[in-house]
Amino acid sequence: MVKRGLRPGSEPGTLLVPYCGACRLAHWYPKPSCPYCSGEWDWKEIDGAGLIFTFSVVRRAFSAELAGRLPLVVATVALNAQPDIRLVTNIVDCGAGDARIGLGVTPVVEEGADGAEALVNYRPA
Amino acid sequence: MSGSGTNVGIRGIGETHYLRKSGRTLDDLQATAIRDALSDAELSPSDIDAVVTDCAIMPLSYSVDKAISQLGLLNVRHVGTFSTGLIGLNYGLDFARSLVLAGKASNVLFYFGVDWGSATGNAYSYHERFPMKLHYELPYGFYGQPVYYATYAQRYAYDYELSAAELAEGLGDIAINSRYNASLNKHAQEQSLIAMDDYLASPLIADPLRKLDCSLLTDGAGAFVVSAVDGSWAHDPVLIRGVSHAQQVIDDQDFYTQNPRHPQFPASALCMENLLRETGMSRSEIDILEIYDCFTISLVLQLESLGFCEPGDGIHVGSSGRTRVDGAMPVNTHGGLLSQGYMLGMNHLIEAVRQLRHEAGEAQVPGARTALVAGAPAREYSVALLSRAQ
Repeated sequence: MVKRGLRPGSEPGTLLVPYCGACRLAHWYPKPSCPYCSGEWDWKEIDGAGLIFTFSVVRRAFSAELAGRLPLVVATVALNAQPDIRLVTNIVDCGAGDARIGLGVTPVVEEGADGAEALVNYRPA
Repeated sequence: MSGSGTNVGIRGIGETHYLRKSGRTLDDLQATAIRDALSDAELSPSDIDAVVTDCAIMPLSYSVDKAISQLGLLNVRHVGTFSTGLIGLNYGLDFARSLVLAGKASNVLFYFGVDWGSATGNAYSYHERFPMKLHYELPYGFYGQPVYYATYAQRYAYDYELSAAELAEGLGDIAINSRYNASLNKHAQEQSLIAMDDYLASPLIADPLRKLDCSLLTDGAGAFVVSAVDGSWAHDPVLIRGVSHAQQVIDDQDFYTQNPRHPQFPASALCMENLLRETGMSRSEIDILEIYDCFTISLVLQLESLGFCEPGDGIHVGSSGRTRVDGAMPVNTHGGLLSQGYMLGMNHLIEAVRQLRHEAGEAQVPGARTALVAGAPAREYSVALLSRAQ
């Protein structure tokens, strides 16, 4: 049920997030039930535009798979549609020195190689 | 012996030297520390009737059955394992005190040790247990505690409008003072002094944190014994004056990215208020602070949350040598996790005992009477107040 990484919606610029229709609220990370009412939730497409809440430029690999990707801009992005939702992502198409807190960003889908799942990154809006 | 008139304190301590690569097994290191604590307490293994350690790390590496069988602890009747590292060890002081005051145990052995200097991946891999991290953090490289705390430092600088230079100077002062304190400690892993040039030349790990902003990785172990105070102890008694623990209402998987109070630790503020109220103490009466310094920035944030620095002012705490053993606010008098060794705070408890016994030698804070031991910068927190008997 839980897939690797953020999932893009069918509409460009959207993401899928757990959403409770009764509360009219999304939550993150996905929980077994709505954390506000304990009811059932569904995946819903939401506008993925947001602001960088915090970030760092990672320069040392703490796992083997990261070694070829350095320096890597890791960020949490607060969604404009619901700012308490903070998504962990990578900032791409952006110099390491150009990332800053408060920067407006939008999702960009990175297709998976050889049938691997697509990853959702973010780039400056 | 039991009853409300009884004082309970730390009777014996033991710790190994702290090294990046000890060339010894964890079993050997830990058993040595336990033996040293028993010897320091002038107790035999059969005098130990209760054992305490953490429940996240030690069960996988040096579980209670190893301590009991390797040391020949013949009379253990109570076992308590709590939380992670110092959070659990501090809370365990309250458990131990309760056992002793109830007459259920006489001598409670605490132990903790790691070989993460030799087996470095283990310091990070703990986090791989969590599905949310595996699915939503690891693919993006949000992995490894230095990355978590780097994002804390960035947000802190943004919240308080600090320039990169101001942030670096503040964090650098903390690292420099930590090394100064460690230079006076005979067990410390890193004893060479550093200056601001050395700090700024230290390689960036995850901006803005440099290698010198991060805890060491260490092989080592510590142990101590908690007992009712009587007149027979070999060393000056160090009393457990108070302990408090608190939890933030948030999933541990969520905490490092979804904390609504990011970059602060509400649990630390809560249990500090409880501790002061229950003991009737004020912050100004505390002579020494031993705080879980996994990163320079985590020390800044905890000092603010604990109320020892105003919000936004914690970044300046290390200026003019203030946190050195000879400074106005001694912090981590042993060099802490940053410079003495990454013992997840066991070493902070042992150091507090040495200081309050007035046995810290060149590093002695003159006239030290009360110490706060506190940690960790996470969703749960424990504080302990230790003091000299008189």
